[in-house]
Amino acid sequence: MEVRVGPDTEDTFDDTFWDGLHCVVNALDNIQARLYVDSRCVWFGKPLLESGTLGTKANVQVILPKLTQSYGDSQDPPEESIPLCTVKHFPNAIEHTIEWAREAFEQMFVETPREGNSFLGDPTSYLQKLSTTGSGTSQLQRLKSIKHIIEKRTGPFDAFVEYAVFEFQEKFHDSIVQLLYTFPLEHVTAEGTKFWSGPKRPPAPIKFDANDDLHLDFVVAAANLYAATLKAPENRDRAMLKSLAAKVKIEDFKPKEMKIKADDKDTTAEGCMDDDEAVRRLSTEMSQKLKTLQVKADLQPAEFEKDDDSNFHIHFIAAAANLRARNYKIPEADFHKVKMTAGKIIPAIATTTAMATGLVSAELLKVVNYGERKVEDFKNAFVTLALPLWVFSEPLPPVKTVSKEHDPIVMGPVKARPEGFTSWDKVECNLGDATLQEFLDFLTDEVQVEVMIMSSGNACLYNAYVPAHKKRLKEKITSLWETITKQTLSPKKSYLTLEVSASDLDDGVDVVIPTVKFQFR
Amino acid sequence: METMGKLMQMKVLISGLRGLGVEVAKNLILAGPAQVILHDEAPAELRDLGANFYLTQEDDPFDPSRAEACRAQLAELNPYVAVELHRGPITEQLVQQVSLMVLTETPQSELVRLNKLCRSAPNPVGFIAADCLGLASFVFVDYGDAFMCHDKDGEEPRSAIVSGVTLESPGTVHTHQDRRHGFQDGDSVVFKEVQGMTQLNDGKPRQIKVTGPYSFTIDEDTSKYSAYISDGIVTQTKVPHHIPFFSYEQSLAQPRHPGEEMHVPDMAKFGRSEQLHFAVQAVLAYREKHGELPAVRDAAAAKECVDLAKQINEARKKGGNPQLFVEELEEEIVTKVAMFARCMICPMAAFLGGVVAQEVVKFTGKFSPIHQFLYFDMFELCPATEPDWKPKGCRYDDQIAILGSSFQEALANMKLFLVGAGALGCEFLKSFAMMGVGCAGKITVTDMDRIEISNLNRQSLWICRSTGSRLGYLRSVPTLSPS
Repeated sequence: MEVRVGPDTEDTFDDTFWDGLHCVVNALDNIQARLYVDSRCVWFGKPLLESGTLGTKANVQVILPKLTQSYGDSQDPPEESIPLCTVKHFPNAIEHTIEWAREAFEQMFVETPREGNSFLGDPTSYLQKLSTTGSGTSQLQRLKSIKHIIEKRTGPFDAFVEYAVFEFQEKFHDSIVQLLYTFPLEHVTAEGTKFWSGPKRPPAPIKFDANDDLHLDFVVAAANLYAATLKAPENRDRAMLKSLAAKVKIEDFKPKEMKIKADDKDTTAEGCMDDDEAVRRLSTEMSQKLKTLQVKADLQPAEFEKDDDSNFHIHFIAAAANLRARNYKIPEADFHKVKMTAGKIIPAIATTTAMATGLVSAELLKVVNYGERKVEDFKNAFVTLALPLWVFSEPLPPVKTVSKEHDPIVMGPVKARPEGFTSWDKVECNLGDATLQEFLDFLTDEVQVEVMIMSSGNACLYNAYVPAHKKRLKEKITSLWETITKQTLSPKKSYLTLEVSASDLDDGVDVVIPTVKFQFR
Repeated sequence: METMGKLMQMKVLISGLRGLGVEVAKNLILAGPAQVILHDEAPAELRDLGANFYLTQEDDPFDPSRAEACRAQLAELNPYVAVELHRGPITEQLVQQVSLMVLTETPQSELVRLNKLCRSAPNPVGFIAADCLGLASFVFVDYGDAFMCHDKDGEEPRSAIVSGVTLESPGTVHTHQDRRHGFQDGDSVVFKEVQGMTQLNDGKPRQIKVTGPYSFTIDEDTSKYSAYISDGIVTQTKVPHHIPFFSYEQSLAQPRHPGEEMHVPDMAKFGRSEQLHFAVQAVLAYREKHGELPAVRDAAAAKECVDLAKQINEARKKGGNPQLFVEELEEEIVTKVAMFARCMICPMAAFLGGVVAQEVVKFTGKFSPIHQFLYFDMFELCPATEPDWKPKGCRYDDQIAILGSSFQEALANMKLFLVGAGALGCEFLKSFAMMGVGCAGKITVTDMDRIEISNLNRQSLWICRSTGSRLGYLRSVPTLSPS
């Protein structure tokens, strides 16, 4: 089957399908899909064999209904990400400039055309939204980019080359001059230490030179990517582009009084005061101009594709990353390294895959009769073939919800009913097509709780604190669901999943209960 | 990249083409050595179909040897690898023509003989011995006396920003507290751009001892150097280091190098590796005596193996340190290895096949080889009571011998959902087909992706070059298991 598993395909992979399974085996490459499959296995009470490989590393996790944790019960520690300020102003490693270049690609060739289309489609609405997002400086940059792309959309290619040279100037010269204006080389911090030291490498601006291969690489890539967003034909004639670029007149840059964050803990709002005023003027100018122009919103945002070496994507990122590295005197990277890093490619190998298959297959043999087995028989595995290292361990028991004296979220005591229930548990309600009141009475009898809030997915079906909800009590839950979600219940569906917040009948303490399966058919 | 270059020149001999041998061959060919030479004179048997996925029912009456039966299909996996056959015993001449040999299904005396030839060859030949003995298995690696490892873990070298260096012996280096340096004891590092203590900027590697998340010492007297002023970047560097190996014969008696312990893959099975060391040697000794491994669930043969194991252990005890011996031999372990020694089941073959193929690649000097034994078992699979294990005359006989016919039936009746058909998914599918999963029930497979150029080298079920819908190529799977 060529159907992606997810919430949209629950008509294909319906209850009958899931109920009929003995076991599910994951062979996925992303966490989102894994979490979805895991949630289905938990709901339908099915064993799941989860595994993944990364280079010579592999892991296998066995998930058994009621006996073990589910995949979603634990999280990998977050990946080491690059701090914002490091990428934006203070890189000291090539990985930082590659990330910066990747973001520049997104901003120039994905977001700008997208926003351009948004503006062209409904200029008033766009300008209104713009004025509420980000600083005046960032708004000004975005608006200028949109103005430029609209004005230059008919070419000729000279205009795209000019654009590329201006971008070069802005990124590798002007913004560096601005940074050094705000934080001069001799700048000293409040503590008396040199600002430009340690992880903050002092940058130097680069003036555009069409004779420099790396400068030209950037211009060729940027100009062509720009042309692509405008659906204009490409131009790979390097000699011609070089002569066009050399002719572009570059203005002198005067730095402004600009506020820049010194590090991620700095609470300074970035931007320049003059820019707020400039944005307002530009907005007015653009909305007036547009009244006379007949422009279709058909700009073409790029879709990052790492594998096609002819599309200029990696070429752009490599040139940009290396130019910025030159600004900061960081050793440059070759095309291959940029592709692997920017494309987040982790080479996979047959040996790890084969080894993991062996382990998963062994666990599958145990799953066949898991009801007759002990949890200790099953083995989760963490392997790194490079070292080599094998670590097998027993799957952990499911996370239990227990009553607490003090829960930090509720700021008070919370009871769990039943005590120590897990995500594998549910409250089964077989009242048929009952009313809300009948359901509340059911919970009062079965679980000794008073329902305070009841929801299905994102829809709140009942809130005891809202007086107006009292009239919902005599309605059927199914019709209530249809009214509030504005959807019709598929004839295939025989139950609703409900989340209930409740309080104890006797002492009013908050009570958490498992998810409710409301079987109405 | 450098590793790829070395791998592309390697000639590897693989002897024994039951499930394990063919898994090693498949994984290795996908990686891309220059040449793979297959050696197995034994004819294929029906039960081999349980784990050797290139043998088909049509090979009945199995006139060609196992090696010959799979050669053509193995060759198809990678046009850049020459896949050839060697007939007859492995000669000294052949040993000197290959870079490394992987020996499975091989008698103990042959292992000793070939290991000596590998060690004495003008260019040391890599030696790996491995076997799947039902629910137990082992890998032995010997790369000779002159082996150099260039990159012990394949990790990207880490860098840190220097914030201070003391003037003392040994000198202490402090790194910036915005990020842990992440170095380990024994790492080698190089410095650059250090202001003040410029003596460090000579590019020479220095070994370190970690003293904290933001500090370490270098094996150097910095007290007479110029004082540190500011800046500096310190980066891990990979320094080639020599790894000594014992011969196979010596390792039998002394499997552990001084200061090292045997692998403990599972803490719940502490001491298991030592027990298996004797269990496996006993079973191999049984084969030396009788010309074949103990028969399936043959109590008398198993008892003989237990006695052999005890004898070997006693001899080692007498020899004393550094020879390995156990205080008490666990008879049950020896019995379990003996009972199923002839069985080759898919999960074990796949597991070990991946491990061994990776060890072959490590001969290039990348990553750290097993030093020198790995023992692994799946004894939890062993049923508590004796099942209906008699062979049915089908491809699943080895699996049935361990788990029983009723179990095999339950496996066949399974309804399974396989989500994703990429690298892992395809291997799972092949594995399930060979184990007989769902052939009376159902396996539902779903996938959304298309084949990309960069993932062709690790998915052996697709031999075509074209890209397109992945699932179309899984047509080949039903031929693995017509039932």
